[in-house]
Formats: sequence, C-alpha cells, structure tokens
Amino acid sequence: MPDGLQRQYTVIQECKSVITSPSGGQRLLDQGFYNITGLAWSGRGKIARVDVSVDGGRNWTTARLESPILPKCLTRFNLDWAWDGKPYILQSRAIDETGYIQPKIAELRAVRGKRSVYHNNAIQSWQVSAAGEVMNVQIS
Amino acid sequence: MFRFHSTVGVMRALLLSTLVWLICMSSAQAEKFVRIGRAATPSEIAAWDIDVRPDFQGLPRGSGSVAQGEKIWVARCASCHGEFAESPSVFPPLVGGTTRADIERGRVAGLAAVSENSKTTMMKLATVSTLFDYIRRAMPFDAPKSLKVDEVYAVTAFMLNLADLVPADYVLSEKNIAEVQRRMPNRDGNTMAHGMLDVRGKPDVSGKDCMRDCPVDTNSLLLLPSTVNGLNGNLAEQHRPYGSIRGIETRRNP
Repeated sequence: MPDGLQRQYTVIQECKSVITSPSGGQRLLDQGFYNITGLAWSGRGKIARVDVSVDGGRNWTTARLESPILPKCLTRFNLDWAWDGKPYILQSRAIDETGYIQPKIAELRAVRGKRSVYHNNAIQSWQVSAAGEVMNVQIS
Repeated sequence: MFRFHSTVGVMRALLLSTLVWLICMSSAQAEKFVRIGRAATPSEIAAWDIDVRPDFQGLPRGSGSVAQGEKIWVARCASCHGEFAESPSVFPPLVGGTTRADIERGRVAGLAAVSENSKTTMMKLATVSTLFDYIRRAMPFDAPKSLKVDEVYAVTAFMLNLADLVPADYVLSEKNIAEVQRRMPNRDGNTMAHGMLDVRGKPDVSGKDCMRDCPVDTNSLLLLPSTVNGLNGNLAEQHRPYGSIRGIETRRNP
C-alpha cells in the first residue's frame, strides 16, 4: 500500500478477463472472419458482462457470454470480428455482479504504484499487426 | 408457548438425526470404495506436517549458531543468494534495506519509498517463523528438505546476523526465537484491513465502462523486447497446424 503496509492473506482474486484467441504468439493467416474469444472470472461472484475493443480501448462492444454463468467460475465470451488486414489492438473488459469493472493497467498503477506484482487483473492488450502477428503489448 | 417449545424440540431432534445420518453415510461411503486409496499413516502425515506457525506451534527442537550457519551458507546458499544474502542476480536480495529505527518501530520505512530498488525479503518479512518454515521446506532450491533441523536453525541465525538482528556469536534455538521475533524490522508491517480478504470486501480500484470515444493514450505503447519471443520454444509447434490461426515461428534462444 502507499504507506508501506502490506496486505496479508489476499485470498480474493478480483474480476479479470483475457482474450485467448487471437492472442500473443499467434498469427492470423488471412483477412476474414475470426471469433474473438476468451475467459472472464471473478472471485466475488458471477460475470455480468464482458466488453471487447479492437481499437485499443477507444470503442467497446459487448460480447456474448456462454452459459452457465456461475459464481467464481470461468466464463467464456465470444465476439464476431472481420479482420481487414489493418493493425488493431484487442482488449477485453469484464464486469462482475458487484458492479466492479476490470481496470486499465494505468488505473491499477495509480493506486498500487509500479512495484506491485500480484493481483494484476488489469485489462490485457494484444496488438494485431498488418502481417497478422499478434503480440503482447501494454498501453500505459 | 407449548407449541414453540415443541417446534424447537423437533428442530433439534431433526438436526441431530441428520448429523448421525450423515456420519453413517460417510462411513458407508468409505466401505463402498474399499479398494480405492488408503488412509495416510501417522509417519506419512508427520513428514508433511512441518509447518511452523507465527506462535511457534510446530517449531521443532534444535539449535544452530551464526558460525555454523555461515559454513552452510557458503556451501549451499551463496551460489544463488550471494555471500551476504545481498545478490539480486538469481533471485531478489534477501537482506538489506532495514535500519535500527525500523527494528525499534516494527515497520520498515523503506517500504513506503517510491524507490526503484528491489525490496528485500528481510524488509517485507513480518514473522521469523516464516523464515524458518520456508528454509526448512524449500531450501536449498535444488535439494529442498535436505537440511537437518539444526542446520535450518544455523542458516536462519546466519541470515539474522546479516540483517543485524542477532550478534555474531548468537545461537538460535526454539528457546530464544521468540525474542528474535520481537526485533523483526517489519513485524507490524502487515494488515488484514483490505478488500481482498472477504468476498464482500471493498476493492481498492475499479475501472470505468465507457463504450464510445473513450480517452486512450496510444502514445505510450510498450512492447516486449523481441529477445523474449523464443523463451517458450517454438510457438508454431504448440498451435494447431491447420485453421486460420497459427502459432508464430519462434525459436528457443541459445
């Protein structure tokens, strides 16, 4: 914490989501249809909604959630996407039933500083290059 | 009144009979799976039951001196942790960053600093029992649990001496470890007053659900250095070789 105190017994894993495909280390062979898919979860209950952005967080679309949606369980989300060969930055943002919204890495750092390691539940960004390569990036 | 008492009585009888029924059911279950598994023997349990609590329950009897600890350190520990437990090369440094003032206060002032320096184990550690427990169960890294109890005491004593918590002629044992605890620099440095202990706790940070034309700073885009791409082997071989998504060709770095 900012005053140097350490949180002890941080057993709750807070709401987080990540796109599993397309994601870092993959490459898209050609333009066309892709299913942006991933997983969301929250230690505080059920996933209520997952939004996906392809432009680095400027605009968001709500993804479909697969059922059953159960508390603390992995919840899969899907969104149709037509790739036109241009560069994009894919992100997912989960909201759980308490209303908690998955934060951006900058929002997390603003509260926890730059030296915090565990409980990094910030929004994950994947950069799709024009060549179709997907890389792990961070927008701070 | 009579009706109220009899309802409570019925509830109690029902609860008791349910408990008895459950116990009977579970032993019936054990008989049902008679050839699957077996109960652990007491010595097997004892081999696992080596944890040391902050109140020192579970601490085995034994002793070790700083000098004995130094011998073991040079032979088994220094290669990863440095001669003086200060090395950041393999793992974060174990010792350093604590002051006499911290020992007095019980909170390490350096933890509140915004410095980019590594925070050492001794800066963060609140309980000496954890130090003993961890060395005993997990160290050395290549041969965990190979240290005898007296050796664990000795290594612990040596680390405490490096951290200026005990003098060079100290012999640590189960008799005096409690007084060491009273000098741990960060003994009051932990708090359970945070939102991640209870499901209903209050989070310290939450995002915003802006949907259109959200503020984004794309000038600060950070990429991993390309040198790490091959750290997990060839990703192309780890993906399906068909379909519209493949793995990127990467090679394990030599």
